[in-house]
Amino acid sequence: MARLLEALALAVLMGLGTTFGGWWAVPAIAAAWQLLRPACPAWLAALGASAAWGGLLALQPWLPVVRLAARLSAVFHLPPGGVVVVALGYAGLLAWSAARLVRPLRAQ
Amino acid sequence: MTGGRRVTTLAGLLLSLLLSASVWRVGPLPRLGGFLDPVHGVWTVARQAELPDRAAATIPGLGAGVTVHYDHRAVPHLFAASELDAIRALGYVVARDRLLQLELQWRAGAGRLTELLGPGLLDTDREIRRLGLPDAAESRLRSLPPDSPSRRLLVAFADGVNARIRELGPGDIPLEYLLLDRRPAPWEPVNSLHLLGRMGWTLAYNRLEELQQRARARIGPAAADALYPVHSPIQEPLVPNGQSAPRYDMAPLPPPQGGDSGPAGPPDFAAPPTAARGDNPRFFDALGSNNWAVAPGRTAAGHALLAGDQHLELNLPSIWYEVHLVVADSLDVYGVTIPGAVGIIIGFNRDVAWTFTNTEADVLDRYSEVVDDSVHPRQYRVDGVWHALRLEEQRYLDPAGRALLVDTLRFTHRGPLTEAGTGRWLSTRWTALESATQLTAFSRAARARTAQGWLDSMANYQVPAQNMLVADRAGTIAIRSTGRFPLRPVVRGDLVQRGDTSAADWLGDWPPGALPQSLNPVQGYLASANQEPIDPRVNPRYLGANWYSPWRAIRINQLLRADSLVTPDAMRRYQTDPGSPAADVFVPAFFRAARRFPARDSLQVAVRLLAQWDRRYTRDNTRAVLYEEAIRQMQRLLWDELSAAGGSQALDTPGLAVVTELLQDPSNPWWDNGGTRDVFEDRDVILAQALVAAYTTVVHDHGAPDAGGWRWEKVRQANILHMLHIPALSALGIPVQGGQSTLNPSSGLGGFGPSWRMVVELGPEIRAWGVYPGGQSGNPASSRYVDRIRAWSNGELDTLFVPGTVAAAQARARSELDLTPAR
Repeated sequence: MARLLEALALAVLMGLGTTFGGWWAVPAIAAAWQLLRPACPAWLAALGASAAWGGLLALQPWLPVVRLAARLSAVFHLPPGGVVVVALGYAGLLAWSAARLVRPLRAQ
Repeated sequence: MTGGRRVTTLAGLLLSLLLSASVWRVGPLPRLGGFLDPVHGVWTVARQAELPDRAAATIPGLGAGVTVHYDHRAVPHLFAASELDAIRALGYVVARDRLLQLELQWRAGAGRLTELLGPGLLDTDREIRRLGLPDAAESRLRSLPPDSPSRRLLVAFADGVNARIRELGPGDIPLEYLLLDRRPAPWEPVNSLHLLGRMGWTLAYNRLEELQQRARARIGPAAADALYPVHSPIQEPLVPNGQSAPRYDMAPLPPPQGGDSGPAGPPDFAAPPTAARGDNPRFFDALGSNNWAVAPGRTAAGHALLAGDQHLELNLPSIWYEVHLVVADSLDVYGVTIPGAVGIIIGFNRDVAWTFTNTEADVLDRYSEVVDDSVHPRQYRVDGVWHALRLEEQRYLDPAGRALLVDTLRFTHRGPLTEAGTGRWLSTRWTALESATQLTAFSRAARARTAQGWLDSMANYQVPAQNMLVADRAGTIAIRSTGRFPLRPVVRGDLVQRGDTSAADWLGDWPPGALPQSLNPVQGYLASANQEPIDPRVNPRYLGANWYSPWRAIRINQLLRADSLVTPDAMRRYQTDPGSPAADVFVPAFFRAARRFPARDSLQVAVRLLAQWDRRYTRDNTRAVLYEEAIRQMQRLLWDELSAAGGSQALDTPGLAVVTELLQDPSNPWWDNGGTRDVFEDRDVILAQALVAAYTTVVHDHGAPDAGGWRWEKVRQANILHMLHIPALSALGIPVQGGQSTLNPSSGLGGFGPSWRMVVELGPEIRAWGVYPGGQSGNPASSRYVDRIRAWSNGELDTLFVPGTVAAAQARARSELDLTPAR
């Protein structure tokens, strides 16, 4: 439950960071969170980032998003909806790699 | 290295990769960070996809506020206080919906596509610049005084477009710009003239002279004159000639020089392999247009009716944008504009409706020039005197502003000079390069109250020449081939002329009174479909050559002669009529040929299948494919003398009307296959071989005749490509009714076809219907991107909503936009 709440908190932070800052807020917040909370596993940052971007996408007008996702996926030769998976995966990987990279710093 | 350290290293590498791909472009991919960002990235395209309930914007130069009401079909109705304000607002709303299209079209006309799309477009840009089109547009703008009505229209439109571009935030950039990682360029007034130049290139440019020259060298002048005749062998002119049926002016065709003359012998019926198919719109008769008007005396309701459909390259977004411009007490015009044009091109007001087909006249000549240096000429000689060429350096840039190429353009007094190989230099004189701007003609015509008034407004229109059809509420119908048609000192204008003498230069233009025209003809209707406009027995003066075969004109005339109570719905049905007059000529010829060879099993199978065809290109038809392929095979076998090594078509394929002449002459040497030295193939042999080859090819490509693969909708489909040719943003495989030479023509690869179908009834209140294959929005995420394609494919028309007042527009508005002057 605590992990879930932590992931939720991360998602909110990353969502706000992305809204007011941009994509770079995702690795920045993931790294900062990891430094502040070294016990937090890096995958939790990934989960929070994907959830944040998924939530932000869900706030868009959904029909145009569906149409756009279908067209974009085809542009990049991905299966239908593939571009959404890529977007969420990209956020998750950014967050995980940033968090995982700073983890030893805190240990030192 | 411990496991933890390895994971950390891996994470570092991954983060470096992700950050690099976020900050820099990798190959064709956009910068991923900004692109995938759900708030600021590509997903913003979804937020812009639908029109908001209300919006507001400011436009510099606006004299007063303009209200815009978008109806249920996303058509903007603009209510302005002056025409210039209406044009400013037009620039804004077009940019709001079609920004990329605006930029692509002006860049295409300016020869500057490489600056947006990269070096892959260099050849395209070079061709346009070498033709002198951008140069002509620039000098045309320079010739306009600052306070001239035309320049004010251009500037007003630019004000509107730039107001939209300036207000674009990071979340308002159209999808394609995000994919390309570019930003829209500001709009210059000259861009509208670049667009007009581009339209001139599409509709009034041809390489006929070059093709003719090559054909004459190959087959001799007499044969070339017959294959590419000045006058159509089938006469169904747009100016009625008093005949109640098409006239076939059949004449024997002189043989090609050097043709083989072997003795008659047993024909070979081995089917050839499937040949490659192309998308030659001229061959398929798909780059052209139809229009017709019916006088009140032949309509069910007693009101004049007008219909038109322009056959052009099909693109997404569509070439057309539908709009309604209203200026109190002076302008109330509805129709379609081309994004970038400063007004409505085709449409109607409260009293008059109009539509165009392309005249296909010869308005371009080439001259073989004598130059001082075959590699780098600086002078050319006329009447024994050397003249300096005007030289202009051209720089082609890539998107980063780096020079891709520096080129020198050369101009004679006639026009641009280009090398035609082996030190031969040709100059081009073309009306599109030297005609005055005609922007105000459309503006005046939009206010006309009668058909005659409309024609008077268009009297000075020059390029590209159009068959302008007009009807009014008083019941007048009229047509005129309007444009600048040169008078030449030679009989044929489609041959390369001598450049070293001024005696070869144009003598002037056709006087307006001599233009092909008709007003309220006795027959009660008018029809045009790119056929030769006037019967040469009425006026033999050279207007052009190698006209489109008049099958579509014949079909319209058939339908209208048979219907004396025409309704708007009949007009709609005629636009997608599946009948083919060409098939009525050629199918019996195939039957006749098959009867000569009763023992040939494959031929008899093929002809039995062809006999099952009702000569209609309906979607569910399962025999049209055999006929279509048989015609293609016949053309291939018949015109072998025009083929290059390897079988590709080196010269222009003569139209089917010329083949009709040959059908009357079974042993004409043209029928003979030059590849079989010991055998003389006559007409029936070639037709029989073509039918067998067609059967073999169709079975190979589409399976057994009744297995489902022969259905026309599976064979011929419209493919509406996105302007950047991105398949995922295109609409592909759209079933259509119609084929070669039908009123709803479709080309081999489906890239050409009817681009705007309109029917107008000019009763006490004007009623109108229309459709184009696309949608008002250029945003691929919008519900208005392709929403009209289904109706277009089904041959249906939308009822056009034409509110008379602001209140009426407001009452049914789905979205409103307030445009106010910028402070």
